[in-house]
Amino acid sequence: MKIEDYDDQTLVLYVLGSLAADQAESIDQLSVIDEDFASRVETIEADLIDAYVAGQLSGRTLEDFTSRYLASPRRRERVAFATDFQKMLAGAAFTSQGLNAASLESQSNSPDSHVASFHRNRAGRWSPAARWALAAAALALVFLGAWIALTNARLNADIRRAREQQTALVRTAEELRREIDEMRSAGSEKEKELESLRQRLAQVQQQQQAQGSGVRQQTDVPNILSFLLTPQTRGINQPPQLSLAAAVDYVTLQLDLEPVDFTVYRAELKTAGGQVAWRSGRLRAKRDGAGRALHITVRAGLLKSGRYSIIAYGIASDGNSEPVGTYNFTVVR
Amino acid sequence: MAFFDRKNCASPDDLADETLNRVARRLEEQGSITDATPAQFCYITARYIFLEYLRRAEHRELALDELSASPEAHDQTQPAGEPDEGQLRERRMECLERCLQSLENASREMIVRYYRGEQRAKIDNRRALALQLGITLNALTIRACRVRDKLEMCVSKCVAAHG
Repeated sequence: MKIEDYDDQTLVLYVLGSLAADQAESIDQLSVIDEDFASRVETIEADLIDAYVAGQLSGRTLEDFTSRYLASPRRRERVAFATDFQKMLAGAAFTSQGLNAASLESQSNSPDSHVASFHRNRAGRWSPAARWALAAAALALVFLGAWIALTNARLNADIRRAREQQTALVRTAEELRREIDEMRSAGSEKEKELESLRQRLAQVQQQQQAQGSGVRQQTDVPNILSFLLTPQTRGINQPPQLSLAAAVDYVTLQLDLEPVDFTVYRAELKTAGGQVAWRSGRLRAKRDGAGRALHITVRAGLLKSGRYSIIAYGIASDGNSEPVGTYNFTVVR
Repeated sequence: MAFFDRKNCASPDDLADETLNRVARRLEEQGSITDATPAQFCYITARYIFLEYLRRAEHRELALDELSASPEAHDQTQPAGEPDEGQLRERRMECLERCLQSLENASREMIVRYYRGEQRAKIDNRRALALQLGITLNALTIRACRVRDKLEMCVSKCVAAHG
């Protein structure tokens, strides 16, 4: 017969000595001349011993094991080893069959001290120095973890603050850019006014030259009339009167401001009928004693006899305008 | 030795030694063995020695039943001067622990994991271990068997040395 013809059950019977003589002899020969077969038989024998120790054998197999297999002192030693080994691996759990295998000669009533002593030996293997070192290492790990957590929290707070600062800086930069744009546009309007004044001056000079007379005794600069206006209150006072001679070219009006919190302003000149006769560019208030005032200059030609109102607006950072004062006056020509 | 032990011979170690001695002697005398493979020749020699063992007068009476019924097999009393069963068990466990520690780390871990678990869990455990080691289950079984044999021999010598 070939090796593959012997199944595990046959080999179990062989190990137990329960096989027929001719079959047993064949297996004897194979187990000596074939190393792999010998390993297989040995494995089956080891598994059989372990099954016996674990109380898993029964019936005829158990009978043959106890009567035939355990007949040999060497095999009894193998069973004793298996019992001890299983005890060591599994603690104190073992079966009554295992107990029998460990002490076939006698039934011992003594407590199973060797397992307890085994565990004691294992526990006692840690020296005090090693235990202290382990405790110190664990404590160091705890502190390290706490330090890392705190550092992390602090860094997160720093990052948050830096982001907020960055946002504020960006907002400030936007506001400054807007102010610069407004100032540029105000500047360009001023330039336009100046250019217009130059042209007017040039015209006047040409007229003078053409007429050949120096009507004006004054200098060649435009004739500007300055006037101070205060915000309209609820009183029944008459609005101030502005006498405007024909020779006046420009009227500069100083508008005293109420205490308000704007940096940029604008103004509108309205007729009694509510029509807007003139609009200013972006204006900045100037200090005037204890308060602040706006200065606007309008061409005298715009002002006919009648009532007028100048409304000053504060311009907020979002671009919205808010009225901050109304200045009424009457022009008399 | 396993061959003689399975035949329930009283001294399987001595018979195994005798077998190897005869094979060595034959090799010395003839220089080589040509009529059989070395393993086959060993088996044939062992078989002859077993038959001689059976023929010898002092062993013929020791049949299997007599061997299992012998006083040595079930002696309940303790021979004088020898340790009792409790002490022997204690010594075996100590020797087992020592022998386990003397194994290489890989072998120790392998053998402990090989026998861990019960029934189905044990089989699954072994499959996982074989996979982890990159070997077949069969190869793992053979490896575990060899380590176990090594442990058994170590424990046996240790117990004898302290006995």
